[in-house]
Amino acid sequence: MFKLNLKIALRNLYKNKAYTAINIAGLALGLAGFIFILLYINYEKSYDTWDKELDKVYQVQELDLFSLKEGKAEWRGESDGRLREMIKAGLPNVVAVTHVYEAEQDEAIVIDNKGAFFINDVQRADSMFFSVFPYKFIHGNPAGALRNLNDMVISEDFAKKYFGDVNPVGKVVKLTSQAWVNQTTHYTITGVIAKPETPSIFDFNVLVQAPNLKFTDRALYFRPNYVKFSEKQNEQNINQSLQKIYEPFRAAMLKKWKWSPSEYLKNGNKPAVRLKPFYSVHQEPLQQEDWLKQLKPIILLSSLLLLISIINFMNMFTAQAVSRAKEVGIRKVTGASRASLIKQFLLETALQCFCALILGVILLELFLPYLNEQFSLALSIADSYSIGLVSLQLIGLVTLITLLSGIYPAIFLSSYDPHNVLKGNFAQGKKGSKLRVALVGMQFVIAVGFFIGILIISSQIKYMESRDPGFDPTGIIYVNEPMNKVLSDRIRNIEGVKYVAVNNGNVRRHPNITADYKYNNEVKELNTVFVNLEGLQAVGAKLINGRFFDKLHKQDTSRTVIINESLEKLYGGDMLNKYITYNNDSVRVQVVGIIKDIQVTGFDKVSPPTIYTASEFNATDYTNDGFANLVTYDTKKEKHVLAEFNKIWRQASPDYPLSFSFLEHDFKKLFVSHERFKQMVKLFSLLSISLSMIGLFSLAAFMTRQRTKEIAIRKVLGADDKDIFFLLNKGYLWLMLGANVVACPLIYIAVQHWLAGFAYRIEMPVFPFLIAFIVSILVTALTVSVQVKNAVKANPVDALKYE
Amino acid sequence: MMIELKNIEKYYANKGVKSYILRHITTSIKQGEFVSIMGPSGAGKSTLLNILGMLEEPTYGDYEFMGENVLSLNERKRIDLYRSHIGFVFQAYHLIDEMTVAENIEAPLLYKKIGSAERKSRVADILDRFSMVAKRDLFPNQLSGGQQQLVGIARALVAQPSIILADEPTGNLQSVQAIQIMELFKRLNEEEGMTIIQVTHSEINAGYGSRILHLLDGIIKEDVNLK
Repeated sequence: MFKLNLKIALRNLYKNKAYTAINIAGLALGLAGFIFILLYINYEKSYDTWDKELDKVYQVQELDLFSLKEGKAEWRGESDGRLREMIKAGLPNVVAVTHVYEAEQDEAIVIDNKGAFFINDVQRADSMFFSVFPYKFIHGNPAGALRNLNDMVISEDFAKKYFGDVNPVGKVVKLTSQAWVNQTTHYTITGVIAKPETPSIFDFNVLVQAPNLKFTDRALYFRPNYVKFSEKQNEQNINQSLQKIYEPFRAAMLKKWKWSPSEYLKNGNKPAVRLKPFYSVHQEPLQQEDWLKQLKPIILLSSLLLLISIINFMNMFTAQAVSRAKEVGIRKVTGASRASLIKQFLLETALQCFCALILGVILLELFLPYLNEQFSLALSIADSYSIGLVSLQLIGLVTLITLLSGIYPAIFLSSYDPHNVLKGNFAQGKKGSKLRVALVGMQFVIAVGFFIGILIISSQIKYMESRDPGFDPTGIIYVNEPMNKVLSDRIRNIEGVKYVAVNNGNVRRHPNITADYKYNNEVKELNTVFVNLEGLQAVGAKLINGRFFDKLHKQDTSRTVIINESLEKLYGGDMLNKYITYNNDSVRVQVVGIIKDIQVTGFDKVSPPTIYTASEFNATDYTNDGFANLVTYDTKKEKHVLAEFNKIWRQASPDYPLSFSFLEHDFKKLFVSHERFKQMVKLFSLLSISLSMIGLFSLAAFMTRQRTKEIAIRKVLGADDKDIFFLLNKGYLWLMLGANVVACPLIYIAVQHWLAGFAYRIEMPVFPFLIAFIVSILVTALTVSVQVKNAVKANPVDALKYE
Repeated sequence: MMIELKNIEKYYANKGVKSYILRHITTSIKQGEFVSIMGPSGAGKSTLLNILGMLEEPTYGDYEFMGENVLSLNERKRIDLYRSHIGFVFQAYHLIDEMTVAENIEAPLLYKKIGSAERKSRVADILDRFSMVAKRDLFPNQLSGGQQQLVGIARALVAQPSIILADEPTGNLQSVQAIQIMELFKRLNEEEGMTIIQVTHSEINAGYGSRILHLLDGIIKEDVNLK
């Protein structure tokens, strides 16, 4: 029976080749998108599951009493280093404790005395690291890997890249953190670890011994600390025990300080600490959105896409019903039960879904490299650790879709009354047509919504890209290094260099330094940016009134400020030559210039009212305060300038290469996420619109076929081509009109919400709504008309012949 | 002369073999005649009727309808011609299922671009004449076969054609209903001078008319005048 059903299913699919192809292709597209999301979810879920032992590892999290957010203390993944000793001594069943953290600065490495280059993902840990995290070693062993101060462990990939197949254990490399400030350290490679099977939050190239720090009550070091127990712990119990030993310790320390860190404690709150399973560190990140939240819009989009394809599928199947009616009638007469008919139709659906799945997987496999690059991921369908899981999920997905898209048509088709059907005066496909209309309407709503959405998103992004940011990022490099006067003077003398300046309110770095200023007897906390005398000219700031800082005015380094437009507005306008005081009226400064707002953070946020104050540095020796050196040059001489700059740098600092970035690139990067969002919505729009149109196309074909008789009668009654044309288009056009009416308010609300995230945004335009309306109506008419053409051309005699 | 057929031929060529449906049909039909086309199955009756109704084209021959050479006309002109002169009645009624009785009857008037007021009055008028006023808002599947055929005829007449072409108009009906329909045709023919051409199997039905064309294997075997 099954074999026969399968045979009939295949024949049926083959008979309607074109529709089958459309059906399968549409569903494959929807599936491909969905599988991609599935892979992504698998990838994220698999974080740090590379060893069973990791279930026994916990992160120590401490309540941060020192920087409150709106009066509330937040949990942090970093905790006081002294907690490690406390946990080891005070909690039962502790196997080991360790800490591991990533270096903040760029680090340069020298291998085999070849040229220095920067590496990222350098982690520092103590000697217990491998007792907590059971990494597998290719060379060396966990016990001896990080024993000494200058031991280094490298990853499999890193070893392969720089040492090839040679065992690197025993080799000595030089690591430099930052020129002049940190000495270059020599490290001996003691081990190479195998790449874990799943992604991990410690994605390190190089792991080195962390320096031993002396803890005192005055010197606190907060680092990510991890504990491994001999078995999995009851979280609540273990946290209670930990809290019990932690609280008196912290309370004593706070008392010694004679300073309660915040209002927070006065309200009866206590310092607190807790242990969280290692697995949750990636799944529930503390100071950022977790991946599921970030993924939500994409999940929504791809579900919509899949929904559209399922609707197409259902519509096609029910529309086909008419041509299958006779078959159903005959089968029933010959003794088929309804259940067996349902089974047969479901089998047909399953067959198509399965084909679609295979096609979808192939499609995804083709586009995966591109998607991986776009979203900087490393997904693959046939990953060793997930292949079994993925297959199971896919089988589940196919079953689900088969049921979703197949059960209604199957029940609908199998319900035909044989004597009605076989008599021949069977009312053609009227049943279920309302549902079909509703489903197609829904597709139209989605498609129109996408279309309007992408138009508005594009114009907002275009608006941002073309908006004047108040400065000119071209021909500026940002040097993330301290420079002394000698060095900066040498660079200033390179031909083509215009300015070597300091401006710590730039795109790359803009620490929010604020200070209280008084004007008109009103104290306000204002954003303050330190520049040197040329710091504003160097970034091409635009003067509205007054002058820039310059050398001719001696007072500029202490007694004058420049303010931005927003601040002038805040103070009520016309601020030139007015005086502002700060430090409790002890310092009085004069406003000598007003500049246009400099939008270093892009256009998402309003640029704050800002005071620019000059210092006398030519360049800065400070590394930690975000004082940043900017070099402005003539773009025509870029090559020459960079070559000379590199040459001078190499002489001054052989083990630490020049690290700089183009401010223009950094500025463009601000728009990357928006641009990516746009691209994604564009892709989804394109897919959803084309899927809807494919659906409409095939549905129109079936409906037209069903109405052949009616069309023939009308023609015989004297209808000409034009009449038939309008008759057949009318329904779809009304439907599209309705979809526009429904989609407009929905998308209006959604886009309004999105636009509200930008401080500088376009007014909600009417134009996209109009365009969407016109285009959707035209495309509908065109799609339907291709089908209608045949009906119009057909000879009515053929349709009216009495059988 | 209303209809002039000269040497009409119709065949399908299949792999070089011509299978004839109509051969050397030459005849003419005058205004006010009630012609029955008879013959066994496959004799070409329906094809002849379709050619007369301009739904099909002959392979060869000349067809003049009210003095105009139909075959030389373009499609638009041809549609105009039959829109204003020909009413069709079918064996399977061919009413539009989604339309009420009144709407079905109104349909041909829509295509003749007749104003709404006049359409309404003509439909009302014809419903009245056929005593179907009470059924105006019913759908075809709520009517009996005979009633459906009445609607079909009403629809054919509402556009005030000069000729009615009927393909086995009583083929699906019981005899009592069939007699009613044939009586109606006869009345239309005699009282209003309507030209009617019907295809029929039934001698009785043919007896209502004024002339019988006997077709056999695509050839007119006999042309009998009953008057």
